[in-house]
Amino acid sequence: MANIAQRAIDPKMRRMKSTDSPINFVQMDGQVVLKIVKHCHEEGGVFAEVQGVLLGLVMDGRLEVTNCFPFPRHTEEDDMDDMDYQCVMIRHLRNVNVDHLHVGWYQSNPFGSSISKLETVDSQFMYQNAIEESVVVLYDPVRTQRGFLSLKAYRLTNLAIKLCKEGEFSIETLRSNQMSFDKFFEEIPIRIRNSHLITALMCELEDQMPVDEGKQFLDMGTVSVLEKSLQSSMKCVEDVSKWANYQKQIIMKQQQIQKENALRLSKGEPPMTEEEVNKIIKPLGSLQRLECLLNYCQTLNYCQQTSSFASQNISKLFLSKALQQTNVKLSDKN
Amino acid sequence: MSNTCVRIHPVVLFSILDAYERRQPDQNRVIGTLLGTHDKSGNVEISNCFVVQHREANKEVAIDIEVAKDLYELHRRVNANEVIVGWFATGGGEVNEYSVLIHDYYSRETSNPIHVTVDPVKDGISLKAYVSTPFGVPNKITGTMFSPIKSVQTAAGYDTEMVGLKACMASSGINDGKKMTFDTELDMILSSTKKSQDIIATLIKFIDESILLSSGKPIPSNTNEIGRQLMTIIESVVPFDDNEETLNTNLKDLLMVIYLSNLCKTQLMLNEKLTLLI
Repeated sequence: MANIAQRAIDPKMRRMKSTDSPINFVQMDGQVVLKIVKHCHEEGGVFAEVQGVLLGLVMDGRLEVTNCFPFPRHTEEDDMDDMDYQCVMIRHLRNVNVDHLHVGWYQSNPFGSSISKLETVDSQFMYQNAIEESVVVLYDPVRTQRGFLSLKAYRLTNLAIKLCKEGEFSIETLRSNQMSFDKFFEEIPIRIRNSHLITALMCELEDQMPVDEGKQFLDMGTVSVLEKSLQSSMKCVEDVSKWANYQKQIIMKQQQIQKENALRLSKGEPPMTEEEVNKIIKPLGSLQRLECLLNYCQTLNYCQQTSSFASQNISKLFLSKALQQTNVKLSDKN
Repeated sequence: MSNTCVRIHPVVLFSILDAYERRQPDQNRVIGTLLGTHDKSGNVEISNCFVVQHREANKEVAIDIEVAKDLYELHRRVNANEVIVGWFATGGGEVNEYSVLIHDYYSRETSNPIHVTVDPVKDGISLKAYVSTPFGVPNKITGTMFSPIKSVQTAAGYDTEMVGLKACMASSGINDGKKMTFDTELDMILSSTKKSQDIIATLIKFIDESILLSSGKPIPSNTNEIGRQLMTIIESVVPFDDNEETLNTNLKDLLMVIYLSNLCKTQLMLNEKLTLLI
């Protein structure tokens, strides 16, 4: 029990525990960060789905992401399909000595909502099948707008890959593999790296930047954001409770079957056949169980997000309290 | 000097320097196309770029025009608003004799292209932008003159880009001399609180030493100005009447949110364990 509680509290602990990942951290070039940010911003609309390709290389235990390029928006009159676009782009970049290993993809992730979509799992599964080390980088434009750069790299755990390969998500396989929802994705820490030339450039830029640039994170009026993320987490919790209700029903039905069987046994009849059991309890598709698993993931994600949001807000409250109190003292003196 | 104003997004400079670092071993200069937008008053915003391969030797320049066109088309598929606004060169100094030839090519792609050079020099990275003007005797010898643009803004871009840039700076340790990464939002607030504390300490030290206790030394001439500025800062913090109460209700709400989300987490864990048991 203590173990569970600890895991729930400290996501870092969980991260350190997963030793089966082939990479320890993702090293990202500053240029990639800026390119992702720019692309997601220009694609407009906070809720637009924005995606792109990450290029880089794998070096003993770390994944270096050195370049990236965006996917085009889908339009009606596409005369060239996505694969062609990717191939041509990678070829051109290769000609100017850019690393051309396709090590993953990035996606916009407003309010942290797209981590547990089926599509995300599907594409990440495909990427990891092709290149074991690949990651998906999720960028949250809303949080970044508030002043906190939010880039997170995830990959499916080996266990999740194994289960996805088998395509089986029944209670038995989950139990035998000791799968739980928090072992589905693992977060890989990101470190931003800059070459010396770029560091020199940033020193110059720093001089030209206004002092209060990028200080949005001290903004106090953040109730609307909190409201929004609470709303989405409420939706998730609703789904979770629906699932719990469903499970309750199943248990009741199982008890009913047991009673029935006992009755039949006492009468000397054979117990219920599997067909009869299935009539009472509809067997669950494996996709449904996966969806439920992902919903759990999502809820956990929202919970962590809101509590971190709330704790930083509390710190801001205390900050402003301190400021105001000194001011009150000062005006009293005057 | 030209009156055009050029704004360059940081991502462009990052890409240019990256391109230079990835040049061929025997290559001195890297050039490429700049993409961006013109506004109504003729100012240029450069927001994207790509490298174009070229060779220069014996007073001749060979540009891979086909590839340049191809890449332009590919970039347009992503963002149709960005058009060719000029070209950049890095390494190999400022404008040279080949620049004119390359500029001629870009003049055919867009009217009045901007030329940007990025070069590391002794005291930093030198960044210059030029526009060209034809000059010479009509119908006789003509030439191209590159005139520098005075107003070049480099730390310009969307808000989110600036947030990204700040994070890059922090990870290189530019602000504080030590490399930092911010895992949580709380860390950022903590570090900026520390920073403002430092600033306030410096301020108080300055006031104490140079103004209040300036033993023998002359008081700085702009003391009045400093005092007024400080007063405005202090007055900008408005104390509410029911300050305490608002604060406490807010605090209660937030604590409630934390409590509930932790409860929710525990519920999830429990639920999962139970379903695996039955």
